[in-house]
Amino acid sequence: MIPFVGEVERDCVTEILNVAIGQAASSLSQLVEDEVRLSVPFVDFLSPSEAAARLERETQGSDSVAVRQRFQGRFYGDIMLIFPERKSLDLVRHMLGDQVPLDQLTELEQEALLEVGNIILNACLGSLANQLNMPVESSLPSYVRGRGAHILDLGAPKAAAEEELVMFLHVDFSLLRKDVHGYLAFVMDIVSARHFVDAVSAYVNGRLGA
Amino acid sequence: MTDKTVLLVDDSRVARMMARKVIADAHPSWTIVEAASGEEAVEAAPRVRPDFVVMDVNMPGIDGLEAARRLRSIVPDARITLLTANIQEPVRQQAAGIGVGFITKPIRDDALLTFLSGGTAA
Amino acid sequence: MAAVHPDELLLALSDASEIGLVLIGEDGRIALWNAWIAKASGIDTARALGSRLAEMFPEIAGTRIESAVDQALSTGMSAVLSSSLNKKLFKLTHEGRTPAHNEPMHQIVVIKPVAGRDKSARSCLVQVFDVTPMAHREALLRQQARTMEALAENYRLSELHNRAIVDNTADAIITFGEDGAIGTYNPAAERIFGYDPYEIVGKSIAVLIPELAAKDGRLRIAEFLDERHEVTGLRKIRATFPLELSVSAMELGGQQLYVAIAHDITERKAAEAELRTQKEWLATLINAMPDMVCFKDGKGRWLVANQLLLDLAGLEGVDYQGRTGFELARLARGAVEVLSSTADAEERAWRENRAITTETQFATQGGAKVFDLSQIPLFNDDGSRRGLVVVGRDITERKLAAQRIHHLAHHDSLTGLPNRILFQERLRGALAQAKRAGHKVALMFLDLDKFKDINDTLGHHVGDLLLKAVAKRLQRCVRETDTVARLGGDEFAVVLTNLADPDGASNVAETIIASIADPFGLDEHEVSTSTSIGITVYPDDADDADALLKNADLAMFRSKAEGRNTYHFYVAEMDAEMQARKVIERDLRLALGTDQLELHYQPLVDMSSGAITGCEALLRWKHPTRGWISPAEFIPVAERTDLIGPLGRWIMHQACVQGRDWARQGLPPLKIAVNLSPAQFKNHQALIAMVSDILDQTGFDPALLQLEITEGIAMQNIETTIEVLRTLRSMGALISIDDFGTGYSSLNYLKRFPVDKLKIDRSFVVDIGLHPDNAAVVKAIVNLGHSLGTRINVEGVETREQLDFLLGHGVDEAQGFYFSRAVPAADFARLVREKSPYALTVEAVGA
Repeated sequence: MIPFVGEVERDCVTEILNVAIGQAASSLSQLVEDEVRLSVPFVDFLSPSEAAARLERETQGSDSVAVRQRFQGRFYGDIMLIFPERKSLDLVRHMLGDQVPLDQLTELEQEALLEVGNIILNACLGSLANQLNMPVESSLPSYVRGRGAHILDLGAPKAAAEEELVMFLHVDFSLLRKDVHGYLAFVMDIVSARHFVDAVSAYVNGRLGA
Repeated sequence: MTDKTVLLVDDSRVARMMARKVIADAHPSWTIVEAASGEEAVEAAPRVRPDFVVMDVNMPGIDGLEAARRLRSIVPDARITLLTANIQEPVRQQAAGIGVGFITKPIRDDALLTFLSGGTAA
Repeated sequence: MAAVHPDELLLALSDASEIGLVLIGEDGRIALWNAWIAKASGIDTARALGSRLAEMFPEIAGTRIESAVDQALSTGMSAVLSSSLNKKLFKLTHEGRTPAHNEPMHQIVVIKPVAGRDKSARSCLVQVFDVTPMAHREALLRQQARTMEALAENYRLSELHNRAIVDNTADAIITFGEDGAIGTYNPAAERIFGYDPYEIVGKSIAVLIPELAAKDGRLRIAEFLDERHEVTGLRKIRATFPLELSVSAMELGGQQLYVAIAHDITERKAAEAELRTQKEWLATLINAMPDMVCFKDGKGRWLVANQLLLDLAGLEGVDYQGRTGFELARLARGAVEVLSSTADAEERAWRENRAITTETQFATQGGAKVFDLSQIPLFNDDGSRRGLVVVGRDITERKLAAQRIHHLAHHDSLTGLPNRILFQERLRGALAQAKRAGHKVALMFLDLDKFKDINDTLGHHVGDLLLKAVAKRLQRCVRETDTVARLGGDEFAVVLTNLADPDGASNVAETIIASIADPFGLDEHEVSTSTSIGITVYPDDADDADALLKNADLAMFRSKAEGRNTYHFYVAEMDAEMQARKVIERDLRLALGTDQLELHYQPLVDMSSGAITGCEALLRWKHPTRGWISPAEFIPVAERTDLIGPLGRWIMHQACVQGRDWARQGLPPLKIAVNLSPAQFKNHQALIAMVSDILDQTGFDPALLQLEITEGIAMQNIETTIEVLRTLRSMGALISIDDFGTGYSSLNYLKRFPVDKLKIDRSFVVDIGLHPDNAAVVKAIVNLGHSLGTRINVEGVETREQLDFLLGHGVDEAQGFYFSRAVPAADFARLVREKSPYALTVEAVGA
């Protein structure tokens, strides 16, 4: 793990993201008209290869699907919501009320998953922008499927990859009375990540009057 | 106005610090006691006898809703509000059932102060 | 090419587009509305431009579309929405082949911010994709998937069904072609023949069933077709076995195919062989049996009989088959009863459809024999009589053994006397007979006085010898027709029958008392004992056995209470006494824990200084209606019930608390003597725990606590006594032996007792001036005690004379009315303060 942030900074980031994910869960809850419970997230700052290894380990080497959006502002990068594939099938089919066991998501189902991801990611980004009082724009979501490394691979040159940082969160949703655990990953380059952490610290310090 | 005691319950140290700042600025002479979990809050309440309880919902261990439910019987006179970014209708109903209000996260100072002044929680 | 105005180009392009395009300006008004959306919505461009989106599509008010557009405009967020998830999107129509095929459009809506000229001003592009055909395709795909799944499930079930039959049948099912080559081979075939399918498929069927091939190797199926045959199979391990085979021919795809179904009949064959063997075994067995065995037909005619029966009945050489028992009886030379006496039992066995067993006795050359003859009926399916199995077992030995067991069960093994069971039988018998004849019956209970002491001091062996000797003497004291029984322990009972009057009973009782009083010579010991007898008389006292038993017990109790070695007749008052005891028990229970009970304290006076050095704690009961009740009346009652436990504890606790309080009041250290009852002492572990507990609880100095046991208790179970006394002493308490001089203390034991004080029994002091013997006893005990290092106390000192005598003989401590009776605690404290020390020597000198 990269000693990128201090303990206090991490606490600040955790709290800010906690609130952001809370709002995302609230948005999702409105969509599914059911209670969405979520675990307390814990934030890790990892290198892309560490993040890939972590994802690989937690999904036990099986395929995952991810909804990815670019975001742009004082800090920028990719934000992604990642589910184990099996869980994504369960989730979407359950939401659509269709239990036919096709092996993969159909196009429409992919669209539905994109939308779910879009809602969560936008709520999350929106909350961050709101809390930190700085504009964050987001692109359209895209759909990725594959193993850990592929999911996180942004097609950047290898050298650049080492300049990147993944802010990795494991989030357990309890949705539609089923457990769906997923991951939220922010992929930013070092500069952007530093901006982000600084903005968070500034916000918290402002609140504390320090 | 007499000095009051506020019990701040949040697993996040930063969140407690921010809430404490708001309260301390407005009421410098009040006593503010912090608890880092629902269990700690339930354990501390009989000793602290808080007038107000500000309770995070999403915490490890017993969650804020359950902790508020238990506090209701330990300190029946305390005014309790939940603090959450994730306000959902089913949760809102459960909270209403035990006479507990909500303040949204991120905290707005005026919402918190309204609650502490005895007005209705946001 | 002429230059086209950019706006026109844009419009042309957007109208040519195959998706819906709506541009919403920063003011929230529609700036672009392409042809596609105009057609799908039925709203033409002219009407749409400049309006708000919600005016065109009222159905989207409050939906996610509205908020997504707002967010795109205000914060630059992009969004995707699909009609799969959203109940309400735009109300658009998908155009079918004909207007009749028009339908609501399944759509995906993409909402994107579009940066304006300066950063803050944003527009929002709404793109609508018609995915209705895709939705149809996916619906169809799903439908197909569902159908496929159902078909597959169906097929799987039916295949499972067929396979289950072939796989689970016990028969080998093998298909083979015209050339004999095996095609399929089921699991039962694997089991039966031992080949795995891969080893045998393709090989000839003749490998498994050689008979199917002729000598020249060609198959000869025809002769086996459509009929069952027994053939020989050949297992992989080269073992042959019997098979039942049926072969059927069929045609499949133009090919001739045979199905062989082969059933392994190894077990059936084995069963047939087994049956033959069993017949032989049966014949051998019935002849080897020690029982008589005979099989008969439904009319009672003999079919088979074993040798034992033929020998006993004397039918050797007689052709018995087909003859009835009666017919054979004429021909028999032996015990004909076996043949003739069973006709009734046979008939009953059939009629009642169960085995009938009768006991038959007859003479043989070897003496009288008893047989249990069982007739076991057999029936045909239609209920008619099929036959009879007769088994006769020689139970001569068992009968003798049963008699012995009966004797054992009814007699006491030590003395050979009737035991309690037989005694009660005899008593009831005697009562019944007396009732008829108008006689009287006397019932006596007796037990040996102090038998336990003899047992403890001389051993169980001597005790047993004594019981045997007593049994003999008792039998000599009564008539043949009377019953002497041992009820257990040292308790005996005597039933005197044919009594004309109760005097007869007293004569017998006197004889018995005199007889038992004669010393017994047992194994070099001369043992003396005596007996206490209770007598009750039928019908004078009671007319049923239970009441008589109770009466005799009460009467015996009286004899013991009155000093033993005597007899008493039952009188009705004894019942009354028992009732009185019950009342005391009940009242005492109620008194526990109330102030009805209190302790009084009698001073112990040191004979050298005259000072009160302690006291004996004595229990007093002030009954609410009867006033003071003597301990002699209620202590024995407590002893016999569970009351002694709590009562004993209360006394000790009270005494210790009192002792502690006196110390706090500033009185000099005072020893308190507390009496331990036999019942308390018996449960020694509880006793030790209790003393320790109370000392802990009260904080009373153990060195001031004096525990008193009587000599009688001390002498029971001497080893345990020593052990317990040591433990109590190790806790710091003092031990004294009460009533000393009345028991049988052996000097040997006394030496070993850890004792601090001997208390000479008051009976030696009462008439000390009159009886020189008593003075000698006191002197002896004082010397004895001092030589053992124990102090000597004398109780019951009432007169100056007694005191002087005791002073003169070195007694260490005295108590008695001369000084004070037992008084309440406060009075005692006053005695200590005001009277102690008593002046002893002045008078002594003057005397």
